[in-house]
Amino acid sequence: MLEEANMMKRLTYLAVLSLLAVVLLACTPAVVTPPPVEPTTITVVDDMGREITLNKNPQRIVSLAPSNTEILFAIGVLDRVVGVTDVCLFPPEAQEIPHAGTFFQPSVETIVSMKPDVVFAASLHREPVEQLDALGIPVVVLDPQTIADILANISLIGEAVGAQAQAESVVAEILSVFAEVEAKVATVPTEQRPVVFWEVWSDPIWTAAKATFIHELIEMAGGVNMAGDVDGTFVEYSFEMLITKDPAVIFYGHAAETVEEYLSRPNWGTIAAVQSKRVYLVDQDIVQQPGPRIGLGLMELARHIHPDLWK
Amino acid sequence: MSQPAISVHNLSFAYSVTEPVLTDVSLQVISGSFTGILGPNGAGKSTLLKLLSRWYKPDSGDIMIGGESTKSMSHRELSRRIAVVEQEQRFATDITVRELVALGRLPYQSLLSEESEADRQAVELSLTQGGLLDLSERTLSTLSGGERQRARLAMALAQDASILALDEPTTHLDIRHQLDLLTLLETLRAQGLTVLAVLHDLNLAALFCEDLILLKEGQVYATGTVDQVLTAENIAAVYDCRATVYRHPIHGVPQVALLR
Amino acid sequence: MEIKKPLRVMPLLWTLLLAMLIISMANGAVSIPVSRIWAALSEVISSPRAEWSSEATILWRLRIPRALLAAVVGAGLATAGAVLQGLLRNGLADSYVLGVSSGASLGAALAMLMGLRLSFFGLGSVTPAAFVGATLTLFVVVFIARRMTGNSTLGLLLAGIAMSSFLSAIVSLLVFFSRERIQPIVFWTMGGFGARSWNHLIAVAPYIFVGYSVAFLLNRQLTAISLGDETAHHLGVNVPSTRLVLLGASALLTAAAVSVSGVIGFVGLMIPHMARMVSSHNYRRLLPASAVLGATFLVAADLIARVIVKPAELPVGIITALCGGPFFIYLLSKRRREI
Repeated sequence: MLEEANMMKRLTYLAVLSLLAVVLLACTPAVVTPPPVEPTTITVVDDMGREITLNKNPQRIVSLAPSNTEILFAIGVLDRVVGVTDVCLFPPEAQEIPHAGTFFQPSVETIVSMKPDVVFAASLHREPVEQLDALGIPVVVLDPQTIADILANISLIGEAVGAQAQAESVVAEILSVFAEVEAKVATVPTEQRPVVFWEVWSDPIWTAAKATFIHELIEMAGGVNMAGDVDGTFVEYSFEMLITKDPAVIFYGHAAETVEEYLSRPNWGTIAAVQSKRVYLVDQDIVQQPGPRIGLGLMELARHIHPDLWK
Repeated sequence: MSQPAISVHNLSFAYSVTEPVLTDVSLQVISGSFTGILGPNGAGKSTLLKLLSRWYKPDSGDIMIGGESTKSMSHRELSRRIAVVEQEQRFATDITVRELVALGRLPYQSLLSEESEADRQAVELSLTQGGLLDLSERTLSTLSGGERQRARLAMALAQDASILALDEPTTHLDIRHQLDLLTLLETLRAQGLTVLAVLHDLNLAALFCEDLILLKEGQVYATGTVDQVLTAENIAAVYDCRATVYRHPIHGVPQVALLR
Repeated sequence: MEIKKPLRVMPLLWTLLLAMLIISMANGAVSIPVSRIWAALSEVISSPRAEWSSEATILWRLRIPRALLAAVVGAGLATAGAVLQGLLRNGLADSYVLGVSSGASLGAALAMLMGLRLSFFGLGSVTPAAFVGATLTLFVVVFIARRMTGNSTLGLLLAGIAMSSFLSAIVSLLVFFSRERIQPIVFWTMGGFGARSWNHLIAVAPYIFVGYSVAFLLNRQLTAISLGDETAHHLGVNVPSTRLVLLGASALLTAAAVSVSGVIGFVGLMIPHMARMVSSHNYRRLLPASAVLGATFLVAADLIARVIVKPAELPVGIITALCGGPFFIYLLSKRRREI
């Protein structure tokens, strides 16, 4: 009960804060408003350190990654998105938007035919970005590696599409969830933090190492990332090492097996998490995707890692 | 006596030190003659031809063609003086007869030059001489053995060389085509070519050649006119078999009859 | 196989290439009706770039350079294959089968890794490095085949396959360790024309032109050598030096192709055989026929690669290997007596 009241308080505070922000932002331009006839542009710096100049308030947006699509939805500009990818499944409305190729292979021809004002790409889209640059189509490349990057990306997209206020409120909302979880977890002494294994894929075993935001989420949620001592991002992990580390909690999101099937994997019976049935299938999109639902993802992990804190 | 077409001085050649093929060969081929090279298998007949065309480089000795050493000649220069018809072989490249014969003009063409009028005339003449005018647009794979041999001969003729060297040109042909081919060579000789041919059939050689070179174990055993070379003693010594030599009833040249 | 050959086959082949280029322009992730191609192209000429329609942009900036690059690379690979088959008198020779493509890709990958990009369209040093790799590989393979296996067809193929696997493994290693810095592995094992522009075309066309010209200038010598080294010698051809120049030309053609499009196999194997069927064994006619047929084939293969899973793309090497693999086996079965 106490927590709920606390949360309500926070939310009210946030709402007031964001309202204030909206009002302030709405007012400031009025002071220095340039003549409306002049075409106005805005310059942003993307994650590749490139300066991109684009028209203010772009009306035709193409998103080449599901996380970008989710951010655009969260800040309320999904109606301006004219192209997404085959894996942009959230929100369900996004599935109605035409595809600009696939996530792994965006089609530059299709993007050109969509006449976008701005394209939001990911770092893996090196070749298409080079082509779009050559064609003079503004591309903002996002490459979120950390949770701070994710929050910065939300702000960046908000700035680029002229929805700063909404972006800041989304960020604030996520920060409030973080604060709440952190406050609770802070009470857990280090030795009571369980070893957590995030399974990206089972054969071969892939997990999230130190340089991922999933590592950060696990640690924030009060766990110890099993691969936290491994440099790198997503890495292959030996089964021998896994048995040695003996994780107490296992998360997986690939949905290739049911939890029952997971628990009955041959050779996995000795692992603590399997013995205590603390193996959880979670929606990988809220944890593995660097989007605005990252707060939900953290909450999900935290509730499973320290269920007693949320009783 | 006019200058010899070919003169070979102390020629030696070996594939490796232990396997001498030709040892200290000296001989002359008279200009405008039809000379046959005879000898048992492995005597070095084909090797001698390959040395004349410098496909093989001699270990020692020298070959003069028209009084000039072939050592100092370029490939092109040499191929304008001596044209070679190799032993029968199947070509993987299936070009037309005319295209094959036109290749005979290679020694006269530069990289950028198109076929000249002289080239076209030479090709036409060679096709005519080879009796190939009707076959000129056929590809090699559609020809009979005799026709293919004539096509190769015509290519050599297009080289416009004064010496024509042939390596066993009659092998694989039936007697009719053997006679036709040798008659054609005799005609060419009559037109002024020096014809030098490795032959297996002693009687045909006697019928068409004027001079013979008899090789044995990489050395010249006998050389001279047909009458001088084709004796029972020489055949016994070179081929290691008994034979009797008699006169051809019509042409009067020596003929060899083997004895059991 | 003897089929009736049209008297003048080149105009026919050129028409075929032109038709394939037009079909290629009309199709892709976005369809552009043939009737609108002309309008879009006249727009390119008449109006400033900023005012182009998206169709004009797609055609002129994306599709046409890509199709032309596929044509140029196809012509280069087919010419290289025809030259190698003639020089080695082996219908199974091809720069892919002999490992020359792998050698070129190793050279190119090394150049990219060592950051040898001396500006010029980013390709300045890649093609020369690919050329060095291709040349070395070709000479090693030919040397092994001649000296160690008595120049048999089987020996040549085995030497090629061994070199090819060995060099591809090194390339894969380099790519694995370099992560972001050079093209993904798939580009080097199954090449393609994704994200290719006018710059790539301009960078590679001169090499292909030089390689083809050298081969064509030596067409008579090449026909002579294809009849036999000794026959060529008797026709006054300096066989060793001519062979050296022609091997170099085929290595250059392969290197140029590989440096812009990765390893695309079997074009050089298949196309010369088809060209012989419709044209001639005489290199004077075989070379142009191979080049134009090779161009047509690769434009078609690239078109298939672009539309079959559209809007995504397949590496074009998959398409050529799907056609080339069975063709290779057919050739093998035809020649089993010799092997």
